[in-house]
Amino acid sequence: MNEPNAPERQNADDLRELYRAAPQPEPPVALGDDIRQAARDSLRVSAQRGAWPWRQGVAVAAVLVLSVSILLLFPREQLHAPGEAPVQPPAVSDAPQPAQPAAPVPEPLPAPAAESKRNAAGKTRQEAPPAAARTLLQAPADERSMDSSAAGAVVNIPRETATDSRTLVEEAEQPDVADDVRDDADVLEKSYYRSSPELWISHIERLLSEGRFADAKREFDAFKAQHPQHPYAAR
Amino acid sequence: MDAATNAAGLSDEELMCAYRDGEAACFDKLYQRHASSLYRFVVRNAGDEQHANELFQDIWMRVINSRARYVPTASFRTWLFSIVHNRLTDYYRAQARRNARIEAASTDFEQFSDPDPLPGEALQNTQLQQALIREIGTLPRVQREAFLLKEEAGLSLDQIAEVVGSSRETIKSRLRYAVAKLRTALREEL
Repeated sequence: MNEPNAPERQNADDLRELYRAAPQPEPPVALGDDIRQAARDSLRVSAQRGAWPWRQGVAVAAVLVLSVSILLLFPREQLHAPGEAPVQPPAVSDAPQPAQPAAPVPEPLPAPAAESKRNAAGKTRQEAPPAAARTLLQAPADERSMDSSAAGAVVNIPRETATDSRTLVEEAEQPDVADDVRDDADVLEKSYYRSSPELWISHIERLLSEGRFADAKREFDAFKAQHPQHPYAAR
Repeated sequence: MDAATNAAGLSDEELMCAYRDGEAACFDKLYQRHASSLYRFVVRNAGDEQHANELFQDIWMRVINSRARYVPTASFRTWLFSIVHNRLTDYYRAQARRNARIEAASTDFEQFSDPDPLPGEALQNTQLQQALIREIGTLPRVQREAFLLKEEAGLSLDQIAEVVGSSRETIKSRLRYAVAKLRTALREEL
C-alpha cells in the first residue's frame, strides 16, 4: 500500500491550508431543524407502530365479525319486500306443555341440559319452516318412530341435539301435542306468505291451481282487506 | 444525566445504533458532528446552494430512513459518505447534460504537470481562496469527489475507495490529478 510520498503530501498540504482558509458555508439552521424534526417524527411513527402490534389483528377480526353479521342478517332481510314493514309472526305461547307421563324418556338429563332442551324445543317450534313441520307430521309412523340409536347414527349430531330432535318427534306423536304443532305451523306459514303481497298472491294462485277454491277465496278476501290499493285486489 | 449528555461521549457508530434503537438525542449529536462537512461537500459538488440544500436534506432523510438496516460493519463516516456518493451519482445522472463539458475535460489528464508548491503568502489571499473554491467546482466529477472526500470528509484513501467503489490506486491517481489541476489554475490567478 503506497501512501503519497513526502513531496506529494507537502504539495497537498498547502492546498489544504488554502482550502481551510476559504469561506466555509454552513447548512441553513432551518434546514437542520427540519431534518432533526424528521428524525424525531420517524422514531415516533416507529414507536407507534411497535406499540400497537395488535391493531392489524383487531382490524381483521372486526371485518370478519361484520361480514358474518351481514351474511346472517341478509336472508332475514330477503323475507321482507323492499319498502314493506316486516310482519312479526304471532308470539307462540311458551307456557309449559302438559305433563306427558306416558312419554318414554330415553335418557335422563341433568337440570341445565333439560332446561336448554325445553328452550331449544320451543325455539325450534317458533322458527322451523312450515313445510318441514308438515313433512314431519305427515311422515309415516314407522319413519317417525326411529329409535334413538338410528337417529344418532344417521345424523351424527351432538347427543343433546339428537335428544332434542327425538323429543320433538315423540311430542309430535301425542295427539294433542300434534294438534298444537300443526296449529303453530299453520300460523307460521300464514305469517310467512302474508309478509309480502307477492308471496301472498303466489299462495292464492297455488291454492287455485290445487283446486282449493274456498281457501283461495278466503285468502283473496283477506288480501283485499289488507291491501285494498293493490292491483291484484281489484281483480 | 440526560440522553444528550450521555451521547457526547459515544462514538459515531454507537450514536447511530442508539438512534436506531429510539434515542432521538443521538441523531442530534450525529447531525451536529457531521452536518457542516457534509454540507460543504455537497455544496462543492452540486455547485449551487439551492441544489445543495435539496441534496443535503435528501441525504439525511436517507440516513433516517435506513437506520433500521444500519449495522456498524464500517465506520459511520464511511457509511454516511457512501449514501452521499450514491445520491450524488443519481444527481449527476440527472444533470448529465449540464456537466457534459466538465466531464469531457476529465479525459485529458496528461496536460497537467506537477508544479511547485504555492508561495506561503498566497494562502492568505482571499481572492485565491475564492479561486480555489471556484476551481474545485470545475474539476472532473470523480476528481472533485475524491478531493472533497479527503479534504472535507476526512476519509483515508481506503475509505474513499470503499465509498466510491474504486481501487485505492485509482483514488490516489484522481487525487494527484485534482491537486495538480488546482495548483495550475491557482498559479494563473497569482
